[in-house]
Amino acid sequence: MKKGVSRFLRKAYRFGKDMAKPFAYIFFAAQEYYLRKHPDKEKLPVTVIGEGSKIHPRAFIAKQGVVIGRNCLIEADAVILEHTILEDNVRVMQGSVIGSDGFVRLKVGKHIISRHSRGKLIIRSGAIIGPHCCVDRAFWRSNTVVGNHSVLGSNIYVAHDVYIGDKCIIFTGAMLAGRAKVDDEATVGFNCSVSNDLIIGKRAIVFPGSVVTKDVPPGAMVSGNFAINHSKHMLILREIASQSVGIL
Amino acid sequence: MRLSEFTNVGGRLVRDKEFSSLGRVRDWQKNRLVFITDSKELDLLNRDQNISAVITYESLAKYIPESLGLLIVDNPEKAFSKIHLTLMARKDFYPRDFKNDISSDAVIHETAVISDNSVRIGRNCRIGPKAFIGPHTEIGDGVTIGPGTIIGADWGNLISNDSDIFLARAGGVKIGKKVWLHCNCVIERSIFGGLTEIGDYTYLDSLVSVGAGAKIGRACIIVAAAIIGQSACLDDEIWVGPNAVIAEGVRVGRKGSISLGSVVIDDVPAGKKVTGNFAVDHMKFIDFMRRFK
Repeated sequence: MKKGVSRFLRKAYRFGKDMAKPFAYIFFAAQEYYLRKHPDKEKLPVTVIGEGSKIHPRAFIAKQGVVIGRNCLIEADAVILEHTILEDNVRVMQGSVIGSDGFVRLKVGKHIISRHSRGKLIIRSGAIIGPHCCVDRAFWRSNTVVGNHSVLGSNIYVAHDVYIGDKCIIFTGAMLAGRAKVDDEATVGFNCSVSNDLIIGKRAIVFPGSVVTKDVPPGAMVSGNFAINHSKHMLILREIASQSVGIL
Repeated sequence: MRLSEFTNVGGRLVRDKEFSSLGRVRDWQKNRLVFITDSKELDLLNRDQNISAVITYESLAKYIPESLGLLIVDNPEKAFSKIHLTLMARKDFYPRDFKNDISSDAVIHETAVISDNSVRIGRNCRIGPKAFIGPHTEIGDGVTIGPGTIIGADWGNLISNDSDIFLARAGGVKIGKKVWLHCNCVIERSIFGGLTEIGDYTYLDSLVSVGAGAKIGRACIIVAAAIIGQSACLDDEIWVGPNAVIAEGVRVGRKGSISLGSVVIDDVPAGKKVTGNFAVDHMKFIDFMRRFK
């Protein structure tokens, strides 16, 4: 299946172009049919754990399809499922679930189509996954990536096909929806929500509590629900504060 | 059950009335007994047809409608918790304990923890690693429960700052058929008789937390990290976006849609899309945002 076609139909579906919508449904149904007809026949290799890695006895690691590099630290109650690759010096904290299936659900009339994941999850060297996070694996033969030396706080949700670059900081409670891309050295603040298919540019800063619905250019600062330029947002807030009656 | 049966509570009984459940003012259970300590809640009494009796202060008693039962006490919270504890001791009011009934078809992971009593698990269920299932949980057929999900979380409930007023939980959780719960979800056990309910064919993504006594209808999709407050009532085929918050006791109508990151504090009519913090009509919100371009 060509990637470009898939992308076009996905976009068409997203913007609700009525003409393309039925075709998108047909496409997804066909894809799902193909996946069911041709299940993964390749046998998963036995889990490999590199030397110097410390794994807590209460952590659960799938018996197949996991690769763990050297000097990793897996804490208590962490769950690492199939199709996951951890490079060297990765730290996974308490209660995190790594490598679960992506949550792809489509509504067709009264019914909901759920789709199977087939991709992988790669966590690059030096990354830290905080306590109680969920990181999903990719959906269609691609990878969810957490970059080198990136830090994820606690209670973070990273959806399928997300790409997190190097040295990013994602703060507690943030959530990145499907196929979002966070470029190198970007910061996503506490409890932010990032909508799907978005790109957060290099060294951009998303302020705490923002809801990002549009691409953030490199180096920009955004805040608010929905997120707009930070300095503009502060001006608006000052205007509201100066008026006796709110502008709403 | 009548108010006059609880003589141990004390206070002055003005109007005796029958009730069949306990609950909060913002709740969905029928024929219920509530307590009121704040004059702001009085407005809701007139709107809600399901309340049958009220416990309150002397000062608020004159505002209570004539049709409702009324008990006047010095400390409504304390009286309410006392009635709750009395009913728990009687064992004929709240759901009773039963023997574990776990289908042999269910695939339960070796690291999952399941309570010793009062758990019912249907056919073809799959329960992932490190999942926890507490007492008084009923799970239908074909349910998938992801890793680390907690069903029937129970940490009691404080209803006031006074540390000796404490509501032990007596209810449970009911999950319909073919429900999908992803990783690290938390579903609380209900405090009173009405169970925390999740309807058939509903999908919950990771890190979703559902409060005590919340009711979710059929074929809903609730996306990651959403929070559904206590006693919130969601109808069928609702879409709740990522990181959205639905406050306590809010009702969302059929086919309602709640955008990502919105905070809903008021009822949403059927078929409507709401956005923002606090949530308003989606198109109005977009028009408002256009001003700042």
